[in-house]
Amino acid sequence: MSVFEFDQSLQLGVQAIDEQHKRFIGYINDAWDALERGDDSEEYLYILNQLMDYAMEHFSFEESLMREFQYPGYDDHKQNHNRTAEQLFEFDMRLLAASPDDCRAFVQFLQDWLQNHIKVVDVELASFLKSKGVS
Amino acid sequence: MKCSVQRVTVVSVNSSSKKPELRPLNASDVVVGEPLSLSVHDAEGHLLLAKGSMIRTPSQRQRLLSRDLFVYNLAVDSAAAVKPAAEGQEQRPRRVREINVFDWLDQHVAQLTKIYDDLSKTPLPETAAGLRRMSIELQRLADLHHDGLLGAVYLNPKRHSYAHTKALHVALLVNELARAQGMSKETRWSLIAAGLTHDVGMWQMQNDIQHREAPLSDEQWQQIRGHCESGIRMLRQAGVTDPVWLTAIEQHHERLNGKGYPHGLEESKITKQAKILAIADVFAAMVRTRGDREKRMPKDAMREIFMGRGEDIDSTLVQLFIKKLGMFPPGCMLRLVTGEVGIATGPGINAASPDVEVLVDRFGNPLARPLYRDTTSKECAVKEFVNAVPHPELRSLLPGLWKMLPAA
Repeated sequence: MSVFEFDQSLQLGVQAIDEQHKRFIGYINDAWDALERGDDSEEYLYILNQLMDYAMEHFSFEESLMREFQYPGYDDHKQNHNRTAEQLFEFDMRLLAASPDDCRAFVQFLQDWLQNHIKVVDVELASFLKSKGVS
Repeated sequence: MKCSVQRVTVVSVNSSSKKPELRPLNASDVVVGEPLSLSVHDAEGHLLLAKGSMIRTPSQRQRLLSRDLFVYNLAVDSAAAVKPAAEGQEQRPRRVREINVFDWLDQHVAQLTKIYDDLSKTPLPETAAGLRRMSIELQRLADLHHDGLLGAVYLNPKRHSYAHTKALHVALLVNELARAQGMSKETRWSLIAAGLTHDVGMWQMQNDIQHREAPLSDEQWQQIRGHCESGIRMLRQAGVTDPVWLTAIEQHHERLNGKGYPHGLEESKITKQAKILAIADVFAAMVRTRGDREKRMPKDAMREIFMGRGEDIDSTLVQLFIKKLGMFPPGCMLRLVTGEVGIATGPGINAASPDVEVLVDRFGNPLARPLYRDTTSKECAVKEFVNAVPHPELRSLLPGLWKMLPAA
């Protein structure tokens, strides 16, 4: 069951970024599914670790695009990623205590963050990239 | 307390039309120091330990054999089996003389000490040849004993000098990163040699300032800024001509944003090997105490490296580094949610769940022998890092945490 839908409001029109967001959302949904099924802690820990890995990969990917096209908002955008990465590193420690409540908080945090980040921050990056002919 | 082998995932569906059959796990299926040649399941066929999982200690083997565990018959499970165990054949006694990982560390620090001395005084072709031999040997051993060697250089119980242990640490890390990048053995030899000698241009100063809290003098700063070039000069005098080795050292302080030294090169001019050496160098420096700063916990060092991605350090390599090393690299001391304190001995099933051997019980009492804990289990999850071995007498248990190596 998908809790978090990739709908029109999240589509930015830059294929590579949209694809990554879809995958990101897919991992978030996997995590929700695992929590809903009541999987053993080691099983959802694995999924959550994958999710965290992907978050880091996604940040690095967007930043490489920004550098390639000399995006003027690079520093601010990266700062935004950095703040989230700091929180993710903190979260990971708490996950290790394997409390389902902490796990839910982690997935909810990432979901809220991603939704907001796409609509507020990534949308500006996408419009810049489109102006450079990227689609 | 339930800290048993855990179910990790669902068994993959077998495409063969033949129905898989389970048979009990035999003593010959589990060999200490070798990866499992078959996946281990419970009576219902749930996967408990995947094929390829390393059996590190006799106690781990004993624990497996004392349970009602099963493997699928070879005919079904052997499609990709690397090395099927011969039925009824017990582990053969080895005739080769063996040493533990800490003996290995002592020997290699001694070898490096001689090599650094020679390079600083009268570099001869033998010095370069010795380094090359050491790199080949290190790569061969590290491919089999990666966790143990990393554990030994990280723990460094005899407090060998900063420069020598850090060089060995960097050599092991670059080998692992280069292997993960699919680099050839030959390139890895060059890169390991670069790891062993990356700071040879300032090793005496590094050891001098190891315990000194005073700020660096101007002269020391100059030596630092010049150590990449002075290092390769020393190596050239000893007859080293390998461009991969020399360039990696020359460029290991260059940064992607062009703010590195000695040349302030831009990203495209820095070799992949130098980028690998850079990340290993930064990590190995951060997790060691130096006179002017405390050591950082591996996770904090990784966070800092991650924050420098794309500016200082290559983003892809940062990702790979975190994945390969995990949050709890071998050798780090950890407290579990049980209150017990132990040492991470290997990466375990995922980055967050290392294999841990407990040395101190939950009341703070030292144990007579290490006890394995599976940290994927909720009851035994890792809670936090601990700074040092809490009981000095426990040092005698450390050699038993990793398998023995053949003596050189």
